[in-house]
Amino acid sequence: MGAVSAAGIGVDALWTAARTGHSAVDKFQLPRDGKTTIKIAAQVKDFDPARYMSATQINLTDRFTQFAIVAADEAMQQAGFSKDSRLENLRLGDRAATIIGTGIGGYTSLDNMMFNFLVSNERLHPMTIPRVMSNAAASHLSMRYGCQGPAFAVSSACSSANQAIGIGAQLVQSGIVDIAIVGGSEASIATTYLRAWELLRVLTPDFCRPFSGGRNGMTIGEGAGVLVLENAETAEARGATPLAEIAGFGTSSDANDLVRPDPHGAAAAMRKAIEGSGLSPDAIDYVNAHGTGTIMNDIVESEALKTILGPRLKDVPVSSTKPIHGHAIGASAALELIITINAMREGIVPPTINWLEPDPKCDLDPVPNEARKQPIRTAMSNSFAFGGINAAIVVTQPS
Amino acid sequence: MDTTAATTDRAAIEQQLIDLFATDGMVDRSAIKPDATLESLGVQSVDIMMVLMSVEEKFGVYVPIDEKLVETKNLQGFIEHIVDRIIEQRKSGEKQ
Repeated sequence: MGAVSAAGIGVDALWTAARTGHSAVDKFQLPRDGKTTIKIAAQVKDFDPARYMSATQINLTDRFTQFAIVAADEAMQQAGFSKDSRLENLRLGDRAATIIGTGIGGYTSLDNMMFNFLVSNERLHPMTIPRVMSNAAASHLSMRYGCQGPAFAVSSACSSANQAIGIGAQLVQSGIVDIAIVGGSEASIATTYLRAWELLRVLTPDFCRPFSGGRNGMTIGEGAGVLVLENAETAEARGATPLAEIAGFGTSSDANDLVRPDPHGAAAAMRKAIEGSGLSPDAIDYVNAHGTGTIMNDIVESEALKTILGPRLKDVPVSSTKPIHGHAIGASAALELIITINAMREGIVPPTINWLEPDPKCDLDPVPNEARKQPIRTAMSNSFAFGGINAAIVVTQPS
Repeated sequence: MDTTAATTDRAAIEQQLIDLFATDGMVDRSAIKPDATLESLGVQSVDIMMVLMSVEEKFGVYVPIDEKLVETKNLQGFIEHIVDRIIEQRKSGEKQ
């Protein structure tokens, strides 16, 4: 696994922040400030791509691709692919897939280039299109590791990464590929993007407090999360140590409203993920919620969880780590699955921070403010997107 | 500010907000009555966004969607919530 988040570079920085409840939300810094009312975000600060890639690569890539490359290198190293040769020299061939989700692709480049071209009358960069395209991250990773199998982006807003991971797992499971490099990346903290979110009135001006009374919205984040998926036999043959098993994946569409979430669709995705794992809902020990901190999402997610967990709803810890790493849209589900897997490995449930008081409409155990030690054998990570697209993943300890 | 002036001020803001609902919320002005529900006026989420954007432009107040706003049942409740936020903001502005 590999991660870039507002908490820092690497999985350790992300997991430490999640486990200790340390928020990376801060005042953001942008080249053209002053156009937004909200001034906070979970921004990746002091990211210097030159530490990780060549000048040519930097010239060819948007920030979202750069995040994906850094996260993927970490994931590939951890998976043991740099033992015998440099990662860039790998040629994994046509049985390797790269699937990277993104909500909106190279938005930072687009925002800057449009401003420079239209307002400042500067020249447009000739590589604008290849930089901005949503499949840029997946394509760069395929080139970097010589993956000649299926390579594509999944773009379904906040559910992008869970779908990318789930589809990757299915390709491995069905024997179409031996390895899938999957995850999500987003780097869209730009003035126009933040203003557009602001106009939807779902951003909090102060604190993101999922499932809490007095909550008033979410905080935008950015980053990338990448995971390397293989079937158990292939991983074993390479001498790799599996971190977790992707046991089930479920995805559904509300087919209802573009922006208003629907408990039936959310529950359908969870039910499919649990059914796919061959386990019973009673096996779920922890849920990493979508938990945006908006009024509607948290009520709808609570209702959906009630239909899945029934009377166990109050006994199963359900936390949202979004107040820590922000809502990184297309990357969020990957960051959250990485946190979920670490929670399972260490037996620590990360807290929902900034929590003030119960909301009777979110009648669950949100693990308020303090992490909790608890064995986790099976966990579920949820994501629900604009467009009514829902995706859930169930992970278990490796068998 | 004395009570009468505050009441007049409040009434003036309310009238401005009703105007915003008619123009930006695309609501038929003749159908606007205090007890009319947003649903009966055909107000959709996109209309609310447009109204709240205009509130921000006109009064400089960011109104997030919180519990109180979601729980308002009719146009009057909705408008009163926004007026409260505007007056709240003005008071905190005066203190500074």
